[in-house]
Amino acid sequence: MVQRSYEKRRRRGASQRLPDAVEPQRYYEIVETKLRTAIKSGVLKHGTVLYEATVADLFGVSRPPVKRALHMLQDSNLIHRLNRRGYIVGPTGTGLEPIRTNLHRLPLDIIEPLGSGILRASWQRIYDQVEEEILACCPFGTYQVSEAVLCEHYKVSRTVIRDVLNRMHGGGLIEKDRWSHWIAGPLSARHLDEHFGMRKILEPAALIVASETLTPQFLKERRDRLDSGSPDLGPQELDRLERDLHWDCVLAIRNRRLVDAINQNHLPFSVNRQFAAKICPIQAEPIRSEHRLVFDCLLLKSPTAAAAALEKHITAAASRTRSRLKVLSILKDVPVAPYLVRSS
Amino acid sequence: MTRPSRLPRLRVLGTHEILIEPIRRLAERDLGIVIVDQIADSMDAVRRAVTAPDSFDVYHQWHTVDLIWSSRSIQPIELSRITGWNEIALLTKDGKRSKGRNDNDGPQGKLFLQRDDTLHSEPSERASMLPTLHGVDAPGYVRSVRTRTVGTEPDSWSWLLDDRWHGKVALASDPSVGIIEAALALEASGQLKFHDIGNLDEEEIDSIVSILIQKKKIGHFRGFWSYGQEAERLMSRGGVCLQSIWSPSVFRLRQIGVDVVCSTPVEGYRGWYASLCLSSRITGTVLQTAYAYLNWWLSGKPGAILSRQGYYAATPQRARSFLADDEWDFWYGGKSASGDLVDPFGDTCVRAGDIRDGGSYESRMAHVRVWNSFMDEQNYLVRRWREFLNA
Repeated sequence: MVQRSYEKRRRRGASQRLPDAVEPQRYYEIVETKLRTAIKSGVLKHGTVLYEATVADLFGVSRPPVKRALHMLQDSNLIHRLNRRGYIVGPTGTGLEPIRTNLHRLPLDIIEPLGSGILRASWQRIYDQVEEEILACCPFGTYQVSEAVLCEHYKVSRTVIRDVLNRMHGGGLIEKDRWSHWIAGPLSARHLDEHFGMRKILEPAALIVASETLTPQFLKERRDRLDSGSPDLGPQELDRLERDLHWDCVLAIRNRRLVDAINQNHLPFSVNRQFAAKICPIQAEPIRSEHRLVFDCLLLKSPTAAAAALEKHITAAASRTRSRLKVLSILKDVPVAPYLVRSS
Repeated sequence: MTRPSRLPRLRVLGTHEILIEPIRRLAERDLGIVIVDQIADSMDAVRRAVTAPDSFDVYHQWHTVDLIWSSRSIQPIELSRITGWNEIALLTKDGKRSKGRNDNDGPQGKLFLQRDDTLHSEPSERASMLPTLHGVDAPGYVRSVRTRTVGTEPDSWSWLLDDRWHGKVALASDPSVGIIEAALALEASGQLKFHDIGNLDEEEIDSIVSILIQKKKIGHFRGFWSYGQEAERLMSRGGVCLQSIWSPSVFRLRQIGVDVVCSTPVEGYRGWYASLCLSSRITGTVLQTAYAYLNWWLSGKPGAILSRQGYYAATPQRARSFLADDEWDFWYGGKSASGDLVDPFGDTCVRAGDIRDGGSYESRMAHVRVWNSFMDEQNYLVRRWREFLNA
């Protein structure tokens, strides 16, 4: 029952995510789909030789997903074995002459997906979801993260899971105990203050840089959105409001190290989402008026004033979030992701 | 078949010690209303206040006002609708007697609503809560065991973790209360020092919890309690000889022949207060009834009833007019009882010649070392405390 209710929430959470966070395809799925389409449309002619290494190079991925994709195409009788490392396009038993073509010259339409970031590393595909699930448990106690169950849950390898957990560890979001178990929580007010402290330093500086690229129309759209909406915010509305400023504007910079540093301090957003979901909706007005001031300063082409307003907003948000964390203390036995085991 | 009453109905959320039957009956009679008490231990009550503010009309809360304000479970009290506000004891309004302690967590700390929607001691026209009662707590011990365990040493919080009391100690399971008492014990024994004992930080909580876990594993604690009757059972039948104890429990234990003393620790008491809050969901007639109930609490009548179990009324002079002189002299004056005195239920709880442990109202309240509090690290504390209780 607990598992079922968890799944329900997870699905709801997924549907609440923004459009840019749609469920990404796996590598082998992309490779298989692209090749299948190319075979059916005739771009890949019967007889064309497909070597694992060449296809992997073409898609910019490692061999295992290519191997899996080619197996699937073979199972569908769209290609058949040429030798140990290669296949020929076309059904088996047709006795086709191998055609060795430079696959890079074929219009396989794979530049676009590579450019749009769909072909991310395996850990990247699940990182945001795992991070959100682990952060969500932190206020409610000490939890051990089971690598084995996490692998099973996301149907990925240990290597991928360790990539995810090591990155979270690097960001100080989880720890290792003396037995080398991954441990999440319990979240302290001090931990929260540290995240806010970093954001107070980093976000105003990033906003000054970002202000050079933010267009008046882009800013006006976001400022105008502040005037609509409910006076009380559920987790979804809260997320949208925060994203308009703290993601879309503050992170509109080219300095990836700064973006990473800011992203590592987003734990407070999780606390507020938990509060809005489990205790009561969050009053929109203080957030809206503080965001409005930042947008107004940006529209008046005064990035320094905007940065000062942002710093003031983060200070006020820190105090509000602290109070909300205190309220979360009354909750116990909160359902968590199945790979998290309460250790206290 | 009985018809449902047409009288106004008020749902009151609170703890066993305050929502006692004599209070409910008297309020119903005086106000012409039906009172439905919703009794829970302190943690369950606050959980309910936060997660179900529409399930109660009035909450008799206990140091939780900033939590229930943050969760928007309560609404401000318009002071223009309160009669007798100016008679509330200075202690609970401006904290004049509590300088040098964590006074922001005292009764006055979060009393008034400010323009920026926060709570502060700066007076305004709207209050977060109506102070009703206050008092002090300290470890209680069985007199005979104390004599043979620590002789004539002065009373001290340090005994709670002292090896000489090994296997005979109980602690409050409420994390807010328990951690302060453990901190008082460790500070008194010189094992740890704290920056602000009423607002412990993460490292201080870790240090205390690891010592407590160690103590628990070697069998130092005989039990844990969540409410007064549980504490009484531990002392009457459970082999516990020393534990933090609430005033009503001291007198109930004496009634059944357990000679319990409420200590007067040299380090000072743990102070507490209770107050009434209005649910954010009530309006119209229910709100009007709730204000009548709040004003009734300042009348002195309920204060007088609860004075007979050792609590102090927020309007002591009003309570005095409902107490006999010998009652006033014993409970507030610290004088020896001139005759037997009864508790709120009419049972004798004080014998002629008895003197209240700790003395008068003035001397006991002046001896507060730390107020109960929901600390900044409350969330971290609750999670670590659970580790201790489960160890």
